[in-house]
Amino acid sequence: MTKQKKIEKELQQQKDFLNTLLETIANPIFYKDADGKYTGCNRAFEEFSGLPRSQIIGKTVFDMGPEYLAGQYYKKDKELFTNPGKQRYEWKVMRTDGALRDVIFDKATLHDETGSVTGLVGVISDITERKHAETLILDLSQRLIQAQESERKMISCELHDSIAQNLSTLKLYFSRLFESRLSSEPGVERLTADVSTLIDQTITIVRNLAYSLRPAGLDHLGLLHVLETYCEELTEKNDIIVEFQATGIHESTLNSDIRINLYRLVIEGLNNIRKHAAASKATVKLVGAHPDIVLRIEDNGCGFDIEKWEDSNASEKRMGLRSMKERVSLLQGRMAIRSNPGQGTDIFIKLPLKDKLQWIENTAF
Amino acid sequence: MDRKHRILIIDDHPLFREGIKTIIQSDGRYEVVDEAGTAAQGLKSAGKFNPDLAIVDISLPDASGFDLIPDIRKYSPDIRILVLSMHSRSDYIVKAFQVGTNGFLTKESAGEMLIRGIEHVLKGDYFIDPSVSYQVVKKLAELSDKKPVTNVKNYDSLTYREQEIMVLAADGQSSRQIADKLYISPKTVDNHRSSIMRKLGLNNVIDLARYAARIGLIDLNHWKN
Repeated sequence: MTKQKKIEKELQQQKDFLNTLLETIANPIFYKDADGKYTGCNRAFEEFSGLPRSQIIGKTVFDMGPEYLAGQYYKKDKELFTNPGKQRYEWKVMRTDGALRDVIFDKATLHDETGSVTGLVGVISDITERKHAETLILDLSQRLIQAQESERKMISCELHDSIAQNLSTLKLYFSRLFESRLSSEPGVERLTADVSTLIDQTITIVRNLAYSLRPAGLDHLGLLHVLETYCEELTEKNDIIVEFQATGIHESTLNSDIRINLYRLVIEGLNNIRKHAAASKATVKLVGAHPDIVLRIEDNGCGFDIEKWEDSNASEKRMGLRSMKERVSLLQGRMAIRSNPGQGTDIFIKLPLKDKLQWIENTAF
Repeated sequence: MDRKHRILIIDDHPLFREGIKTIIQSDGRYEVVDEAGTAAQGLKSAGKFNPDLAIVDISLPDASGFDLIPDIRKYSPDIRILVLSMHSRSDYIVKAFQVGTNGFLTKESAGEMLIRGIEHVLKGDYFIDPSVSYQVVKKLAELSDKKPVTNVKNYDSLTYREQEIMVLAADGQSSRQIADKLYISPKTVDNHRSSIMRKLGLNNVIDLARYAARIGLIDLNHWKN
């Protein structure tokens, strides 16, 4: 009898402990039976949902929130019951005040002694703040790239349209001045020629500088044209054949952000190949895959061990690939690399044509 | 004496305009009938004065010379056009001739070459600045022995919707799955599918996946993210 009492007491203590634990945990926790009806929750869940326990128990997901959210809860519960075990996914929850929160659900099935499913338990982690912070960081980084690009564009235009232009004007007046007035003086002819040559050389330097900052052709001739020319020039100047292919791309629908970013990615990719790959052939492919655009950069060079590269220090080799990855992720795209020592390197990049961030902002609830 | 050839200058740098105007006027065969600093002014002036020759800059504040030249041609089909630009890359020169230019001169060559350029162009010849003609000819030479890149012209004729469906179909998704994803009916997906097949000359989904892999749209092998 005392033994029985002792066991009961211990059980009660355990129950109290679990109860206190449950009520103390800051994450909302809920449990449901095999029909999907709520059988209980903790205080955090009450606060999170804005409803007292008495109004939760016995209800289903369809009593708790708007249908488009509940449909997904229901689907996920069903999936879990069909494949018992654990489940984790990201979704949204609407609080009674109408505020929509981003959450992660961690759920697991409950079983009786025979092993059949009797219900489930779920824990909610509110990641709204984190997602918000991520969006802000992404937005800020995108703005940073944009600011850098517009700065480059401004300097490039000034160099080309003002400085080089003024030098040409100078040359024009200078040579006329000397031709008409002073050409009879000894040595002047030679001097005129030397100064003209110097001005020409300066114009060439300024012109190349402007081009390396940002090719004006992106605006005048289009991205495809500039990339094709770049690949041709690389082929001429180096011991490598660079082919360029583009299909399904409607130039007029590419905004200036996507144009300059694709341009930078191709340049960076080909620079990597020249520096590290020892390749004799490279191919750049641009393919329309609405609502995305696919960029492939492939070479037949020496390749590398991707896993080793990923583990290696960030300051080491192939920084170019890392900066490409960074650019792609800022643009909400995806970049994959395939390479093996001796077997060349293939880079696969998929970029959304529309700014997804803007999409998120526009459809925010 | 023959009448003077009438010339219009379209360039947004007043001092440079002044310089070339002096060069032109000092030759008794030519007169400058008007000057314009923008594409819009230039077009208006070309219509008003109907000159024999227009000297056009590529970088204009309100439009590109590449757009302006065909516009001028539209109203004055017989006008001669000489581009005078800071740009010297061969692709600019090629493009200038493609849109209907008769001559191309870089601005730094204007002092020595302008009159010669004008003479040639007015005679009905084409004229290229000797300092850049080397790279233009080289480019042309390469163009002729360039092999066709790939046989992917047909893919260009796909609409955006068809591209979208092509990606999903090449990934092995059924019409039902694609329909759910794009919020359209499976029947509509099937219509798009047959249009894609017809445009690309394909017979089945395996052909489609192969085609997609060939143009680089998808990859059949394993990728590491």
